[in-house]
Amino acid sequence: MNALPAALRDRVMGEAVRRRPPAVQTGPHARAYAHAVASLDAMLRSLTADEWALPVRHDWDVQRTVVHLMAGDGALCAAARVPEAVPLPRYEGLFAEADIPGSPGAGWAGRSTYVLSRHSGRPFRMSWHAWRAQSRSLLGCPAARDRDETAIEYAGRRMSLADAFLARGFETWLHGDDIGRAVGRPMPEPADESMALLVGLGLAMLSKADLPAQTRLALTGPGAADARLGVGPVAAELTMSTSDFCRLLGGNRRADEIAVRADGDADAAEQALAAIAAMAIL
Amino acid sequence: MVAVVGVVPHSRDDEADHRGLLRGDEQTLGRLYDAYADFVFGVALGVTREESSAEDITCEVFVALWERPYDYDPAQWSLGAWLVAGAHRRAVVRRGAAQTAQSARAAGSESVGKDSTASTDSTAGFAADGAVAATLAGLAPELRDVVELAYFQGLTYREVAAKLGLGETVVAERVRNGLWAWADDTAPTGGRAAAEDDGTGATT
Repeated sequence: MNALPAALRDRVMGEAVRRRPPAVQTGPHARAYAHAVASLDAMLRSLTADEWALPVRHDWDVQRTVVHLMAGDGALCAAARVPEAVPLPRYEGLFAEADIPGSPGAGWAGRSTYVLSRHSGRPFRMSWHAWRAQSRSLLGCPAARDRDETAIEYAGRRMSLADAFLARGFETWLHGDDIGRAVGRPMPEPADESMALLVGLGLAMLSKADLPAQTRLALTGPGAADARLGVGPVAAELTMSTSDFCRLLGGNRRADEIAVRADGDADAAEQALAAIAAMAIL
Repeated sequence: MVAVVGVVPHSRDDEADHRGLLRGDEQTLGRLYDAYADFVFGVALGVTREESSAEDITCEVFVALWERPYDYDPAQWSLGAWLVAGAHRRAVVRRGAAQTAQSARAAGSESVGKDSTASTDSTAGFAADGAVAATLAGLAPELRDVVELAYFQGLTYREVAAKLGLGETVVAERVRNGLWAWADDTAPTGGRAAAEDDGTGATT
């Protein structure tokens, strides 16, 4: 008999998940993060040692970009009750907090600076595995399954832990996309439902933006939306894809780096674009 | 089955399946296994003539796709052709290693034993297998010859080239084109149909 043995399927599936664990099953708010972590990990598995040192963005190579992601993920650890990969130092009363990189008072950039300093000169594998272990711990915690509305400090804002999971999906996708462009491997976009949630989070943040005139925002593609920014009569209209909107909102691309169509009053359109870019939520 | 000639453009489904693999969705892997395992196993068996080797190779090919999904590029290959080509490559290497080991043992009295005769018998009819033959018959003749020789008689590209009086690069090109057409023509429904045709529930 030449038939495929029925027992082989279990052997293949068992061996596969032993070698590379599947994405963690989560609630919808953490799904973009779970997918992006799995995709980025797959990409990192395919890199040569030389590719790890390729420049990505800012003056970061692949390794530093991964460490930067790990630093941002760390902001969720306390509320999610997950041990941080690189615990931030606690200085008590010796210095002004804002002067110490990594201390809560030094803010979001300080957190990244501190974690980057701790991983400087380490083998890339150590940074990669530390990032992956922390991400998977976060994805395995109850707050990744069910929305947790506990307010946390995230990127200089107050937001729910649930929305912070969404924001991590956002950032991991976009930085993964940056790495993918640097090494020539395409990072998959978030699933349609995840993209809709990301766009919704961005629009909710933008609803507080102070604009002198109203601009209509037409977002096309997966998770498409039609929104109004500012108050008063509509003076301008901006059309862009949802993925470019996310890139602009994340501070990942400038307005002149994305495909955007502006109609109507040029000043109003300009101000609305600036307001989106100013969110820089990553 | 409909005859398909030449290069079949990659399907959107392959891209969606590839995204699923990148995102770590094991159900995607399960679906791909169900669609292509018959053919992957069949090719491995055709070359190695040994069931346990064919099982190992089938396992390796699917696990490699899952573990390193970026090694597969949907712009270059259809998923089916890529899996089958991976099985063929591994099978040729294995067969080569087995032959080397066998000739090294040739002087010794005890040869390979019961397994090898049993599986040689069992694979003798492989090329004539109904579903596969029907699928091969759907290919253009010049593609069919190379696919049959390379994938079912287990010849290397060099051996196929010598046999047909072609250049090695022509053979490689034709195998690739043949696989595009073949995988497109057989998966996913063709794959299942083939399994049911010769399944008979006898495998345990």
